[in-house]
Amino acid sequence: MKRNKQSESSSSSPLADPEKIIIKKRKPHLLPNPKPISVPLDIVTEILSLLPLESVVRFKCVSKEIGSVICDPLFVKKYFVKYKKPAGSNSDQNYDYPDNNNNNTEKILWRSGKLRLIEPARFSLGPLHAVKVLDEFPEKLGGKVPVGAQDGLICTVDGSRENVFLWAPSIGYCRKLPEPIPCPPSLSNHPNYTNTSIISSAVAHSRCHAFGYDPVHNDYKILMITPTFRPNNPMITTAQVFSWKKNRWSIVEDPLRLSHHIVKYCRPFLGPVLCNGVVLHWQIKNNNIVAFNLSKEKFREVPAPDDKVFMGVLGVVRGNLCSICFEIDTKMLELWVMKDYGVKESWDVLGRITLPSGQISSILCVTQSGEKFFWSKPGSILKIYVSLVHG
Amino acid sequence: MSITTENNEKMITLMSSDGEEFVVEEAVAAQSQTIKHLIEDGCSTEGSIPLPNVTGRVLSEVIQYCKKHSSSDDKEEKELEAWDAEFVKAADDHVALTDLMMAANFLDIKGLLDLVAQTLANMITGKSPEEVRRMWNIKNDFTPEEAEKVRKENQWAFE
Repeated sequence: MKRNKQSESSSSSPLADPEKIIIKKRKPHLLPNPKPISVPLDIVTEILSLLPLESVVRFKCVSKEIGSVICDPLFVKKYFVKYKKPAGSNSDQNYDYPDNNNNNTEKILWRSGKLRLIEPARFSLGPLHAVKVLDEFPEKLGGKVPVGAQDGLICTVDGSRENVFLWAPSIGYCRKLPEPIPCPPSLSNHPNYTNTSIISSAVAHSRCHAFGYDPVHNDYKILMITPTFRPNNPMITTAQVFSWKKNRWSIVEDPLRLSHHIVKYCRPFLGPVLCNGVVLHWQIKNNNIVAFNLSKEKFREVPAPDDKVFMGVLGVVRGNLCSICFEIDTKMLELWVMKDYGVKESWDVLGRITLPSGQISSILCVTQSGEKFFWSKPGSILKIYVSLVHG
Repeated sequence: MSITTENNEKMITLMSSDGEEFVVEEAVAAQSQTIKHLIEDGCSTEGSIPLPNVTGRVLSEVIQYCKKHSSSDDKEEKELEAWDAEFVKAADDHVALTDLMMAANFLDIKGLLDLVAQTLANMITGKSPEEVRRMWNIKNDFTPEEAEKVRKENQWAFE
């Protein structure tokens, strides 16, 4: 017999619906003896992602399976995306320091010990707890050198620059990634370099890393470029990418040897800048920027403005790739922005500033609105910013 | 099976896992992306659409939600919100809500999924891990030493 549910007119309240009353009668009774049910993991994940952080962390203790769900980077991402500021407040004017997509931010805050600053923008959580976890991390695993941060996840490397760690400080999770693919060893036949530890230390400090999210494959990826030094031969580089989903490293084809430029010209601690969705950028030398597409896992070159002295600092301003240049004639710093991605002619100057001489050891980054620069003073961990003069 | 009412609405028949059949307007059922795709693939032209993961009790609640949400395009958002609140209140124990959420997940009805997920989240926010295990019949697979260690690492969340 068919039951035609459609014939009843829909009422405004479920309580007034006669069907509903019948359903209520059929309902199983409440505690103390609930019907045992098994809940699929994706349902649990969905619910967990809606909870306040304190509950999420507490529920790591429910079972090993739930604990591993909570510590999965893709869950961390899902969670932090939901936690981001509500729609309508997307302006970065409220920050007096840079935020997302600028990997330098975390480094500044990390290095200066002002970890509290990272807190409200990045994690939107109670300040004390995450700061506590942040302090504890370096002792725990030795991954002391920050590579980058995304959606509440931080990637670090240890002193050898070979061991990579992925860390979700707020959730209290840290994992050492599998060993990378071995690269050709550096050789030396020079009598002064019989001590191989010097060479391995040089290799370690020349290694470049980058960390980013690949929205096309919903995956986290880490790029690592390892140089190989051989006497009387040019340096060669090996680029490899770690995929969180595949849980392994794979070699990146680099026929134009662009990764070579990254090792040669970039200060490793500054790291690349993520712009245009999935593309990481390094300033390699005047008139050239090397880009790495995290989703296609390919290197390419991006044009930079002509005839400028670059400070080696890229950034993102209002969604566009930007570069800080020094103008020799006026002795001013200029902020250049590529308004049309990949088009050389679209580079335009957004603002300039005169800096007091002798005060800058290195420029670190620029805020997303393009209002302020951050730089470090020689011999001081204090970071300073100044506002740009626009026009 | 596909029939047409006097209002010229196309009707389709859904069959629950326990064999109950429900005749609903296609527009109502198509709020489920899963059913929508089945209709597009021509599954509704021969007999009823079987839904092996959903019991009749849950399916009748799902249909109630879909009816309300398909007929209320021009209604006040506030009224709909109030209705939603009453709807989840009526199924106020976690077993019924979890069943409903699993059905919404299988049938791919985003609005219902979000509504029930938030209700369940509100329900468990302040609970202890033991209470959550009991609620969803989850086995505690930690050894006492491991449990102590995990708890210690996350102590701040218990304070």
